[in-house]
Amino acid sequence: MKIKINLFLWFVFIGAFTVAIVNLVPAVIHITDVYITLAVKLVLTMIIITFFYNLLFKIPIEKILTRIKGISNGDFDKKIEVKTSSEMNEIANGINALSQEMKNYNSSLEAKVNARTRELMQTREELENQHNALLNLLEDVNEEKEYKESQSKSLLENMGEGIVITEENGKINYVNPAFEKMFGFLRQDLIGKALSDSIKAFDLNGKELSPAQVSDAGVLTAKDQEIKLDMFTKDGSRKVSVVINAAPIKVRDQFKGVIRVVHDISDDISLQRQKDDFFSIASHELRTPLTVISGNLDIVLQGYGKSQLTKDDTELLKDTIEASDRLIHMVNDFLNVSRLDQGRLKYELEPVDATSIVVSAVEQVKPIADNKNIALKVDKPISGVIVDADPGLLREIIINLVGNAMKFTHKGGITVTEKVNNGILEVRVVDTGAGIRKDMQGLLFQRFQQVSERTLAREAGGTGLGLYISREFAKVMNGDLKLELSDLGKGSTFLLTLPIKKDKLKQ
Amino acid sequence: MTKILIIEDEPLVVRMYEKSLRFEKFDVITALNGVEGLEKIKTEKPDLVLLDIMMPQMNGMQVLEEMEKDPELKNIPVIMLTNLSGEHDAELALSKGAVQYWIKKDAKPQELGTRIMEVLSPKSE
Repeated sequence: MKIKINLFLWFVFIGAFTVAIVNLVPAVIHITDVYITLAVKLVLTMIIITFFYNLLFKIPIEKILTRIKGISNGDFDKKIEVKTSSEMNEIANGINALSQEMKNYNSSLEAKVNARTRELMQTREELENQHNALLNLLEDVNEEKEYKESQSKSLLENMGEGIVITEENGKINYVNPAFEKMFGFLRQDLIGKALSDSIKAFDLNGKELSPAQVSDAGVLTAKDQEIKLDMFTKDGSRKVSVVINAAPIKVRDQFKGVIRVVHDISDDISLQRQKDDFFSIASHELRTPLTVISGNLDIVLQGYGKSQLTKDDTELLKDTIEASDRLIHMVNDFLNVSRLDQGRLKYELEPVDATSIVVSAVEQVKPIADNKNIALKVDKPISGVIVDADPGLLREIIINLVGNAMKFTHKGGITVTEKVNNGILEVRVVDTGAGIRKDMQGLLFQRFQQVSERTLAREAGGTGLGLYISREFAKVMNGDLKLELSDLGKGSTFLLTLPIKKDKLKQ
Repeated sequence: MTKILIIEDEPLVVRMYEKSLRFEKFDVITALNGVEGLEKIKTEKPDLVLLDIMMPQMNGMQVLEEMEKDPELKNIPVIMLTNLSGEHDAELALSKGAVQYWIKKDAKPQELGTRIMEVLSPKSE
């Protein structure tokens, strides 16, 4: 409801009303005294003014002020009504509108704050979750680390191999129980001391290692070192044959010490020795009866037993002798292969006249060649050629080559030739025998030929090991052995090369 | 007849060489160990001794050394019998006064007779 009466109108009305009343009342009441009339007029004026002042100003203004106070205290809801004048009405309405605005503003602010708070709470929750997740992860990682550490520790403490860890200064930092047991040491006696304080070490040639070598030298640059040693306790009471693997410990490329794995091979070594002994005893024992078998049969064959042999007897004896010879050959081959395998081939290189050995080896097998009517000779032997060789090994090679040639040659002959070429002695065994198929040639020098491929060996009646052994022998003497040429039906040429001793090179 | 003394500890081998050499008209005496062998050298004075290296108690090398010490014995030619694949011990024997060595496993017994005759027949200097 729009209030149409504004204050100006009220003032006009109040003025007129006051004048009217002030003049009327004394007239009506018949007051004659001038002064009383004046007093009455004053009082009436005062009353009228006060009344209309309260009505138009004081009461609305108080209402308005009260509301304003309320608003400033946060009460946005009340509404006031002032209908007495348009101005006051407008002020009241304005206050109401303001209050409403503030209420709205407040609400929207509150809503925003709530939303923000919710967001923040969510974020906080997420952060908390992440925090917890990280904590869990950390715990897991720690657990894992502890587990791994205890695994490592457990591994070191329980493994069968000895471990010695030394620091940069060479002092022992850690030894494991296995190492203690190996030598009969106690951990506490070793920690803080150099390894060489407690151990003496000798290499396989019997040479003692210096303390520096025992402790650290050489490991600094070596990536991986494996050394075989005999280690003794200082008082010499205990000896352990070991293989040591030493590796530097690097932390971010800085050298921090050495870790050594010490592997006790005393058992292995004694086992090896037993194996060797067995082999050598067995072969020795095998040889004697084999020699007697072959020898006695030969004696009977030669008629030394004074019996008259029939043709059949003779053939039987010959075959038996051949069989027994093969046995002898096999025993020798197996023995040689096992020795080569173990690196235990016994030989000694010395300056020898190669030709004299070649010639004597050829002479040794000549009787067999004569028996088979195969020509065998050494063609133009060169005298005075000195090589660094083991006479026994060289002899074996020649005998093997010539023997092979004889097995494959049924007519014609075998020729052994020599040639000096650029400081190398070339010995060739040339036969006019069956030759070797091209596709079989690669197998010649191998040890383990498949059964089907062994026809080569079987024809020859051998173990097939001879060429392998002969080549290994040649290599041991810094030479080589190979098939120079061969073809089916065209015979074969085997070439043995040996370096001539330099200071004895003859022009 | 040429008298040959075989000192070898393996009876089978002894008998083998004995038969072979007897057929080749050698007079053969035998001893199965080094001690007995030395005695027989002194008592029988053989023309040549076939001496095995590997024998128990007293081995061939020791017998050889004893022979070299005795002026009566040192001139008797000795052929060492050996099965060792290394030629070193045999070479060593040669340096100690043996005349030759003979590898048992390698050759036939009847060749031994030939070798003995080679050793015994005077060589032209």
